[in-house]
Amino acid sequence: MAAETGTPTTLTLKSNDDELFSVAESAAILSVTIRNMVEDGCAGGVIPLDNVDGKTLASVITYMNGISAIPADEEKKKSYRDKFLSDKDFETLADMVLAANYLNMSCLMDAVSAKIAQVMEKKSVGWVRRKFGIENDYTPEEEAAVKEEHKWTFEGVETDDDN
Amino acid sequence: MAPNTCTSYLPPEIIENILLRSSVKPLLRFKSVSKSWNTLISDPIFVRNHHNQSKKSSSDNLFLCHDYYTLSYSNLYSVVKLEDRKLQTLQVFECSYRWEDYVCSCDGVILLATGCDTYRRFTLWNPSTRTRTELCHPRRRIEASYGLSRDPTTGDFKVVVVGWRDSYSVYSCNNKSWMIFNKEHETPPRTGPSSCYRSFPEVCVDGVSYWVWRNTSHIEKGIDNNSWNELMTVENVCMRIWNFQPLCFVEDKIVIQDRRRDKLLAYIPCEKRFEEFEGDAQPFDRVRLPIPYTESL
Repeated sequence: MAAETGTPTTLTLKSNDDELFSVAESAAILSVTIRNMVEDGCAGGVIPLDNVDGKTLASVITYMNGISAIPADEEKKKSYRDKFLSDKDFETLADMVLAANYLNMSCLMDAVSAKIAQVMEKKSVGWVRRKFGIENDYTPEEEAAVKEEHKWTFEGVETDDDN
Repeated sequence: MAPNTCTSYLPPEIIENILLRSSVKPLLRFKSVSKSWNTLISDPIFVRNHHNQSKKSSSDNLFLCHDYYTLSYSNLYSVVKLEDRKLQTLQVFECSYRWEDYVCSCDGVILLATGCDTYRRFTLWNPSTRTRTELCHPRRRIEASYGLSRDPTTGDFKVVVVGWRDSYSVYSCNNKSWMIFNKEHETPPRTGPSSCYRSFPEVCVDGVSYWVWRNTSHIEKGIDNNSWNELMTVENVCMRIWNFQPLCFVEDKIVIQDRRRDKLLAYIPCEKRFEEFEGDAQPFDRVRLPIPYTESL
C-alpha cells in the first residue's frame, strides 16, 4: 500500500461486461474480497470482478464512495443506506445483494437483505415464486391446507399484477 | 450473468438471510411458497435466529400495552414503541382474554391464567403468530409466583411455578409435562413475591427467569437449567413492593417500573443504586402494565 506518498491510491475494477471503474483504495477496501487482494499485493493493474455486471458495479461504487465519506457515525451511515436503497426495484436489489455477497461487504449485504424483506412485506405467494424462481412443489390440497392454517396472513396482500 | 436480462435467482443462503429480516406475518404466508420454504421457516434454529434478529432491530423498546383508557374492558392490545419519550402504536391485537389474566411474558409469548379455575389453567399466547397453547397445572396455586422462560438452545418454552416454601414445578412445552423440584435455598417463611392475589411477573433473559423476591430487602432469584439460585440483594429500595415492577434487562441494568409514580428506573447491581430515566414520566401513565415485547415465530 502506498501510504507514504500522500496521494490517495486508486484501484481499477473491471466488471464481467468489461467496463472499467476507478475507485479510491480507501473506499474499495470496504469489500473484504478487494481488501484481501490489496493486502496480498495482487491489486496492481486491473482487478477483474467476474460475478458483477457494470450497472451493478457502478451502483456499488457509488455506495462505497458515499459511505466511506461519512465519519464514524452509525446513525448517519444508516440514513445514507436507507436513502441509497429507497428507490431501487427488486431486480436491482437482487443484483446488489449478489454483488455484496461476492465482494464480502457485510454492511451492504445486511442493508439490502433488510430492504428486500421490506419490499416483500405485502407481496403475494405467487410474486415470491416468480421473483425467486421457486417451483411450487405442493399438491393443490397441501397448498390449500397450509394457506388455511395461516389464513389471517393473507389479509392486506397486494394484488398480483405488478412486477 | 448478462446485463439487462432477467436477474439470476438468489442462492438459498441469501434467501435465508432475507427471510431472517422479514416480519412474522409475511413469513407465515410464505410457508405456502414451497415445501422447502415451509421447512426452513418452521426450523427451530431459523426460529431462534429470527427472534434474535428481531430483538436486535427492535432494540428493547417495544411494549405490549392494554389501552384501557379508550375501552375499559376491551380485548385490544397494542404494540407500542418507546422512542424519544413518545409512544407510537405499531399494531393492535385482539385477544379473547382480559388484561386481568396476564401472568408474565417472555420473548413475545405471553402466559395468561384462564378459565374460572384461576391459576390452574393457563394459556400461552403468541400475538405475532396468533397462536395459543393450553396447559393445566396439577394443583391450583394462588400462593405462588409464575415465570416463563425460553431455553436458548432448544427454543423450548418453560413455565415455572414457584411455591413460597417448598418446591417449584417446571412445565416444558416440548415435552408437554410438568416436573417438580425442591428448592435448595429455603425461602424464609412469610416472604414471597407479593401477598396480593396476583403475583409478580418475572423477567426472563437467555432462558433464565429472574424474580424480585420480597424479604426485609429484595432478593433476586433465578431459575437456570432447572436449578434455583439466589442471585443478589437489591438494596436501597425506598418504595413499596407493589410499586416495584421489574420489566427487562438493558445492558447490565434492570429496568424497573415504579407503578406508583409511573416512572421507569434502572437498577445498577454492581453499584447497588437506582437511576431515573430522564424525563420519562409521560410515556407510561396511559397504560397499566407495559410488557416488554418482541416478535416471535
